[in-house]
Amino acid sequence: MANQPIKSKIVKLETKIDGFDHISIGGLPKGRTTLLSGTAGSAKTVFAIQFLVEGIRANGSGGVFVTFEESPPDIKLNTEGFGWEISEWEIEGKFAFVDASPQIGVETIVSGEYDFGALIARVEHAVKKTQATRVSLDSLSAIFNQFKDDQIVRRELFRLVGALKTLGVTSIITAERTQEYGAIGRYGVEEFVADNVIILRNVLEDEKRRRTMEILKYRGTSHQKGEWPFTIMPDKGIVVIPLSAIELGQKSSNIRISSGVSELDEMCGGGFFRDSVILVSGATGTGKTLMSTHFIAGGTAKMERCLLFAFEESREQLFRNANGWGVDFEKMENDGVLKVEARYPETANLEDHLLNIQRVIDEFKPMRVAVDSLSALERVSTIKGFREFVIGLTSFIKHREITGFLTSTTTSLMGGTSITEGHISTITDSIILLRYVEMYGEMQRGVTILKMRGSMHDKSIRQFSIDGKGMHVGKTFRNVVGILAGNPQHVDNNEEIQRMDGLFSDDK
Amino acid sequence: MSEIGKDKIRLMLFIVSQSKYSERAIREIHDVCENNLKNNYILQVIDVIERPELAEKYRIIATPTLVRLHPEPPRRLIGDLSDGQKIMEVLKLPVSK
Repeated sequence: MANQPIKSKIVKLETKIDGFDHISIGGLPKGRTTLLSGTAGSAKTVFAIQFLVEGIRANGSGGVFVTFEESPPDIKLNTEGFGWEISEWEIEGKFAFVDASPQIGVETIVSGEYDFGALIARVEHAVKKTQATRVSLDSLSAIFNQFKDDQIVRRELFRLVGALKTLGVTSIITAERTQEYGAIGRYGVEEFVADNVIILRNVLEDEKRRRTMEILKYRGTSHQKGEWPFTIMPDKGIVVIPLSAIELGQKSSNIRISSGVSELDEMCGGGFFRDSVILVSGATGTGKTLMSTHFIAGGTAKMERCLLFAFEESREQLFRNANGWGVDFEKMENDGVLKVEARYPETANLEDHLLNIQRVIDEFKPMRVAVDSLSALERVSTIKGFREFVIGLTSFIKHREITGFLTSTTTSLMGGTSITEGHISTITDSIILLRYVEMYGEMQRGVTILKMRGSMHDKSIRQFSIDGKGMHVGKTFRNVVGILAGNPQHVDNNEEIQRMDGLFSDDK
Repeated sequence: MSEIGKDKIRLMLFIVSQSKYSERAIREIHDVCENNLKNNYILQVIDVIERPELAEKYRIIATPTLVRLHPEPPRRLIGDLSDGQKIMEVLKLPVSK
């Protein structure tokens, strides 16, 4: 997906905004002006300020914020929550406001010809005073509102951008647009002001808000195409989620690890691969949570750190369940080999869940990660958003070279696929199916390895039972066909037909 | 400010000295003040290139901008000030006679 970088003289300035430098392949074009366009509430101002903040934090390079809309005290108040010490940086001479917001209580009449000589002089003065390398202007629309003569404003904006270029600073100008998809700005000139255009969106989709960022144009240099989801973290500001931009450069490991169930390891040809992602799919009650528990117990038995994200059950429920199968989660947590994170899917949107999972993984540094269940998270997202989430999660897990164990609940009791599966089956390395099988008026459970990338595996459907010690895999189902299709039927002594049927139902 | 200047009309004119609008503005404002306000005014002409910190203090964006500081409330006129009568109207300056 990554474009081959085009050879060019345009150097990029790393913004240090999380994820942005990745999708922009290196940051903002240095010494140039980039237009940041978006509807009201699309986080333009946050981006514009964060651009300056990250510069000060990264290498102490000064920043100038030119505001045409909000007053500096309001801006400071609104961004206080992000932990940005703007007032202190002002005193240290690293940050300066150029306050061009409307003055309340001052009657102003405009008549005849004028230019923005004073504004340009003030910006130049502030840049020299703070030795700024970064300048943000917020927003174009507000200056058009202050001065009614569009023609003069246009001409003067070109002069201003020219002055910024002469100063050698890298700058951002924000512009308001009225629609998420349509003209870049209201005044039809915005995109001509800058060589580079970035669009921020805040789209309502299936009653859920989704923020995305798109680099529309980078004149003379390369960038990633398409819309990238981003979120606003309370203590951090904007975080762009590069998802599929993550390179598929992971090493492939041949090391096998135990699933925690010895019969299952045999079925897999010796266990899961160290850096693989395994999906377990089955109806409610088939034993997915049990398998996650085994997976974790298998890791902690070897003193490997394990992380469990639970989105369906509370900590108490999980601990009680595990106890019922002879696994002591509490002791494992006390020993520091396990961390259980139980959350309701509704507590955050999917982007925030992903960032939280990534953060916890990086903090705890586990060897194994289980997510039970992935499908519960589907509730808080759009189909597109969910797909991006799964791609982001699996590629992150593979990047860290750890084992990921994801569960997915199918809607139909006897079989069939869930939406989750359809989305992620191609991304995961291994797929294990758990199914109910009705035999002689009794519900039995069946397990089969549908896919195991890079390894031979058992292709039969095996019976399994659950008791106080967990999961026990037994014999192959004989004389039953159509288990995977969710329609088990008994056949007598006709193994050939059974085998043929089995082959086709594998495609599910 | 001295006692004598206390009740005088105080005006500030922000300009960029090389600009064509500025020369005309200086000339106009000077004529208007001399003809109408006699000695009852203080006019300060500020080149924003030389004094950007003053432009910052008064939050001036456009040049030329004429600011009436006294009497209150503050008023501003942005533009080339080519019409003397308009200056008097907009700034609501009393004609001294």
